[in-house]
Amino acid sequence: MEEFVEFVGKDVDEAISKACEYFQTERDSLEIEILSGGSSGIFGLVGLKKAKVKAKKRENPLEVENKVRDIVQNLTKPIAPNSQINVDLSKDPIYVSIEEEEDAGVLIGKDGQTISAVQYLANRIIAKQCPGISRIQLDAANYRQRQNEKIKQTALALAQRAKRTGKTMKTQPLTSYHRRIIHLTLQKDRGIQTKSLGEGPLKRVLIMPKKKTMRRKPEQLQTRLTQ
Amino acid sequence: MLKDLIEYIAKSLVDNPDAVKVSEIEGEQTSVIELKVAKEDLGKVIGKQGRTARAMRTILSAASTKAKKRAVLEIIE
Repeated sequence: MEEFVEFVGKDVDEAISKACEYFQTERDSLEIEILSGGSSGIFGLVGLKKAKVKAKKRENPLEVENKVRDIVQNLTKPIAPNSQINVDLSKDPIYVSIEEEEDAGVLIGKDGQTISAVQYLANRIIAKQCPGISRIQLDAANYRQRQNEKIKQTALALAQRAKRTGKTMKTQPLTSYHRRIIHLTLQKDRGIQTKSLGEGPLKRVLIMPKKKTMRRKPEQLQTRLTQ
Repeated sequence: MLKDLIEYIAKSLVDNPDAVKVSEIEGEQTSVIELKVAKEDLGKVIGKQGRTARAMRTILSAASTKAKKRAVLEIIE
């Protein structure tokens, strides 16, 4: 993993071309951050400040893919030695799916605990070793996809019940990721309001029927009709 | 193999990989895996509210299920 290197010049352009020279590459394949714009000062005498930028080579996608695959493989090898790991860099977070049949159960764990632990550690290792690349989302044997679908169904069912009974419904304690799915699923439903409840990483989602807001008073309605 | 897994994770997370020491004490049924890291790296292997340590234990227990063993992780100060 390359580190940022700093360059100075009398203006930003000069600093950047120095960076290109140093890395022997085009401007497009550098990640550049401008630290100070520089100024020519008054009559080029007072307040003269040099421009400073920092730059590093952009990650090569193939390298990122291999790095991510290596990390995930190292973590899962003792659990599922024969699995095929696919990395999809086009998604953000990077989508990593593990194809596995025999050991899928152990790899996923109770309520997806193991797969979540692997994902968390992989992200920590990525953050440490290749800062700058995006987080990953890890799936095994399509578990998360199925899980997401299930959560959506639960959300819709609870929303219906909330509307029918006029009462507030509560979900199980869920992780932030799963709560987000519920909020997003019900966000378009105008008769429903959602809110998280509780402390710590696991919270419940409250699904509340919205009170009929802005109910017009009869006389207001009257004036509108006569207009 | 379980020891290697913990060693890989710990070395990847800390600032001083050379100070990481992992030893496995095999018992009749359960083996204890002891992890030692540099003092300033202790927080990195434990994590916020013990999240990293918990994740390591989860993944360790999955790996030991596969190896038909039982293993516990001890982080030593």
